[in-house]
Amino acid sequence: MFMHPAIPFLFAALLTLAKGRSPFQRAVHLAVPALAFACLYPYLPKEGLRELHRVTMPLGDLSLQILKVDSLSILFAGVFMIYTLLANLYAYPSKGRAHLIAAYLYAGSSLGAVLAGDLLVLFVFWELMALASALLVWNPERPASLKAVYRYLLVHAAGGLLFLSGLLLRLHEGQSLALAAQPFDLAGGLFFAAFAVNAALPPVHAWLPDAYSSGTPEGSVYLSAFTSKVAVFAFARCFAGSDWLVGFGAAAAVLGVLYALMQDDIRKLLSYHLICQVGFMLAGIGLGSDLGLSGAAGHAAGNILFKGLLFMCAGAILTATGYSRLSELGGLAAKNRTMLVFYAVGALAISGMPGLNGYVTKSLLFAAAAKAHLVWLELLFIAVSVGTFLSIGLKLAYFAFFGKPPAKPATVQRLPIPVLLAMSGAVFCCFLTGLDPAAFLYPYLPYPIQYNVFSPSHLFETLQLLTGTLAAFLLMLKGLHPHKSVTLDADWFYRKGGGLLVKGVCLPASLSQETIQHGLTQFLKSADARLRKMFPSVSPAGAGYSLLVILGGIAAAAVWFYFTGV
Amino acid sequence: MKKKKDAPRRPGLPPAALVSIAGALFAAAAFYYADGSHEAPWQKIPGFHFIAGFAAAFLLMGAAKFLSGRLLDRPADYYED
Repeated sequence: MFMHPAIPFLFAALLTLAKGRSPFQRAVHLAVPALAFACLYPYLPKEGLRELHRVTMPLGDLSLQILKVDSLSILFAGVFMIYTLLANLYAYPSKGRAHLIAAYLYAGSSLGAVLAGDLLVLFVFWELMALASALLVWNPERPASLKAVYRYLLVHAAGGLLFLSGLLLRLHEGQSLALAAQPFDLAGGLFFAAFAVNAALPPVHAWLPDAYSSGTPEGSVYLSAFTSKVAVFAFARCFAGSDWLVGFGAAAAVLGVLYALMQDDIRKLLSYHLICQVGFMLAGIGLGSDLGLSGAAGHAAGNILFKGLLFMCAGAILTATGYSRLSELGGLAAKNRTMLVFYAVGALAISGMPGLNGYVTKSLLFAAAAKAHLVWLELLFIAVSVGTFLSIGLKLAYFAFFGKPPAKPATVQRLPIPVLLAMSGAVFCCFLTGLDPAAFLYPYLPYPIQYNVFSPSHLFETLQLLTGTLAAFLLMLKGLHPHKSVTLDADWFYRKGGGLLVKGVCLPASLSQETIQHGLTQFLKSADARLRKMFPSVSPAGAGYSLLVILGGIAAAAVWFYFTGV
Repeated sequence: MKKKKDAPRRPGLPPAALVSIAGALFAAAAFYYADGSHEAPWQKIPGFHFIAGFAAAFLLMGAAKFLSGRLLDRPADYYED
């Protein structure tokens, strides 16, 4: 009898709804990933992982592929199940029933999404994921998080509508709904945009740091793993080899790492950096080569583990101290060495330290860019890796664990044993796949790997990159000192810009001549003050002359083009 | 009365020098083990990756400081009204 691997998660959610946190529920809480694996087991390929299995279900005239097991889906599904076990362990002490129900539904629908064989099945799980994850963004201890839930739902509803529009177009045109390579027609463009929303590609990226820094510590641990990785999976299925993906991925990587460096809140820093890492993966998928796709899929799997570990540490810091801003933390290393060790492993793994999984998967992506003869992408990967080590490995680690403690140092509570076990599990996985990728990573990647990541030359080059970054950080330490602030991003348009637009539309009706004059004067005064602050060395007369010269040049060029007809 | 010593202007300089020595050793090792796998000539320059790491870190920190200080930073309660 066929049982979908997402069903145990639904069972766990219903059980929690009915019985609360009873002893039986606690047992199911830990066993649910194993139950999902048991459901998937009969469909696992028996002779090599690259064999394909499908399960279809009729729906009217359509034949839905509710299960498609191949090398790509099995990698994502496998890592999702391992990570769900770790996240469930982390959330074991949690008392929030609603959050646990949402977590089961979220993890289960993510599993269903990566096992989907067609676009309609993917869409159903996609929307379930959005609804379940919205509840995880809600943090009862932070009333402002409700507004974040609202924004999260709005953005994901827009993404869902794009997906649905593409789906309806495909159905209307009588085209295949198979989850496979998509042509770049109107429907294909709509799918691309919908996937971009969930992958948090710029300019639709701002929801991710907004939401992931608002939830409960346990909620953020679940959130960090699934939504963006399911989008990476969807891109790999539908748009592998797309040049657009290389461009958007590169932009996301640079934007993510720059914004990460500017953050004060540790979960916002990690969230922005998640955008950067997704950019890495999508650029690899955009290359379209076997090495690029395997590197991207491997990096997605690795990222779930080390980014999850980092979010677990961030949640542990928040739980233990009550603070999440670097400007309010400092000196934690002396108070909790265990937390420092866990954090260090996650930070070094994501920075690409040899011996940990990030080194292996990043090396595969570097090699894919080199083999595609994209020198700019290789240099960009190098710069982004440097930014990763700088923001997570050095800035966050230094100011949270070694920096000067604040005037009122935080009291640090002991971490519960399940939380420590969850973090130990993630550390174990990072080392296992980092030390012996040939046994524990390569066989599960979509394509065979013919690249030696442990060549002495490459090893010493990586160490040079890390030491060069560390030397620059030590010299410019003061410049990165965190201060309490928010950084403007694309979410300004729907958090502030929308209100300003409404005011602007209503403005003409309520204006007299005096108010227009007064407003204009105030605007010019504030623009003048702002320009003087930005360019203190430029005199107003000099700026005026420069502007005059530029405008004169433009006018002269226009007259020249008009008369010569060039 | 004993005169209090002034704080060093660049406290990170001595550790940065030590790290740079380690970087130079790694560069020498990479040069010794060079396997000719790189196609781009700039990647064959001894110590290229150390210099690239240093320069990229310097540029990124500068860019982040400029962007946050001059353009993007707002008070922590900016969105709360």
